[in-house]
Amino acid sequence: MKNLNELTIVEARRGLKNKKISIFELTKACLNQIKKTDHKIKAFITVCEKEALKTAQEYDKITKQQSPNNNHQPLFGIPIAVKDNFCTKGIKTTASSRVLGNFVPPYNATVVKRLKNAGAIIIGKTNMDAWAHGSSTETSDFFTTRNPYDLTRVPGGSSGGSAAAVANNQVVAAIGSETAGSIRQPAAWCGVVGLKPTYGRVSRYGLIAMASSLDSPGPITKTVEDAAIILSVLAGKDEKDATTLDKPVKNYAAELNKKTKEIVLGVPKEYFLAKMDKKVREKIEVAIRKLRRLGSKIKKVSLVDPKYSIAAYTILQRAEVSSNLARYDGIRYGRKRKYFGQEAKRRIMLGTHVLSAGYYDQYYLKAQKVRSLICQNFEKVFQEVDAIVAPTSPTTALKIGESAKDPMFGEMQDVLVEAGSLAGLPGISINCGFVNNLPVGMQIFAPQFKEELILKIAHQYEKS
Amino acid sequence: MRKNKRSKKIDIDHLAKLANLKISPKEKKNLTQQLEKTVNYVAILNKLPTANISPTSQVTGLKNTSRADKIEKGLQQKNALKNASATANGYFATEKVKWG
Repeated sequence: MKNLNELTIVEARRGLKNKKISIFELTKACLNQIKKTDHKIKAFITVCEKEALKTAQEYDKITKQQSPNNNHQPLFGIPIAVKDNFCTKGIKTTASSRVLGNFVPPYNATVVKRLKNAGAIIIGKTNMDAWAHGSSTETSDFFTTRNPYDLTRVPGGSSGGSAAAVANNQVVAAIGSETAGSIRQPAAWCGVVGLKPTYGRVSRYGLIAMASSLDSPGPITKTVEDAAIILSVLAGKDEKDATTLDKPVKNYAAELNKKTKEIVLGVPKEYFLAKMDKKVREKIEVAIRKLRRLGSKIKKVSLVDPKYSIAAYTILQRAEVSSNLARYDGIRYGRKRKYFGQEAKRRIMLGTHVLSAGYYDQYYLKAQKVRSLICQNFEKVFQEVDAIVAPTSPTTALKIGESAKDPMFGEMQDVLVEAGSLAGLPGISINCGFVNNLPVGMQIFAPQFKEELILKIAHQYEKS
Repeated sequence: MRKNKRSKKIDIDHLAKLANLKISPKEKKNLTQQLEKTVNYVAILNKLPTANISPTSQVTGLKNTSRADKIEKGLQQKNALKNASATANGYFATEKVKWG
């Protein structure tokens, strides 16, 4: 039998409903695992042991007083970790930056509020690249998180703490945020499921902003079904984020096993890069053959060469970063600007450059136009196929220290997700095997608001 | 237009002033190199013709979103000031701002 901390949301909810386990035991099991392993993994910046156990006891009392079957809160009693760039009322929120090293928010992010309303227990805040600037957690101003599969390697990033915590069973599930790759890439490198919803599907209110036209919060989980459950909790219109859309939110988990018409999956030749790890490529090719056996039709498609997405994404993201980080003045909250780390400074400076007088048209406007080209390209391709499959990352997890020299390391690592992010598309990364004992991730992405479809394809793959 | 043709040369001091960042001489050398490398890379976008293309800043097509015109509770003053480095009479206190 599994240890309690190893359970999925579905398994834990079943155990709780059948009164086989208590919320306290489940929470305690996660906290014990954190105590046992986090000195090595370093996934957490803050662990809320007291608060989590207190809430767990309260929830157990509620369960005793009423029939558990009467409780329809989908995450009731589920211990969840939250990336440290989501504001948590009364709990330190740093975005892994020394600028916010002592910041205790006076309010909850909408994501946190919705998790709590659904009954989740916030067990702690996870490490990340500072301000989400990176793909390894190495730019965290505090420490680097380790990959649970190999402690000499990074977990990916920027949501590396959340992915490592889930992979190491320190929590049942976790929340990450993605600008381009920050959920999917660490999920791939840690062998877990990472879902980046459509831009505007999940509220950014209370999420410490990186690039506001791209940022998308989403779940990192052990199974596709768990990701579907959390998405239903998080998604939907929020008055506090004007970019969220008033579209109906489905019960995504209930949709997973419903039959669909034949799905046509596009495989973009440009996404199998010449310099990518050959064994990673082989794993993806095997996975695509499996998707075909499961009933999907596979079709080769052509997308804009990812090297252009890297360039457009770099300009737009740096510009938005410089604008978003302009608010940190050390007056209302946080410390002074001299506390910014090297990576933040680098990004602010480039963003300032591309937005400055005389350069705006040449860089920023040009990148916005290329963004239109990328969107048009996807619109065209999605007339022929329902969804696209590709590797999430061209490699498996890299060794600690490999990112230091390259000023565009993050962008290069996220080469295969940037175009989709620029177009606001939803995408999921799931494990499709191992190379030298390191996980390989496959991504599936689709037109905006087709989360249901990618979850369904991923679920079919996962259970077969 | 300033130095549009010579975009490879980045004026770090000017950018640092615009971005309100203090850059040490050692950082200056590294940053100059790194920014120039990045700027040189992104120049590949010039290979894509975009003469008749409009720019995209919002991808889901939303326009003029507004919320219902009703008063909601905001942050209380004491909570809003809780993280301030200095306060005075219920306000944020700042250093003196000098012009010129």
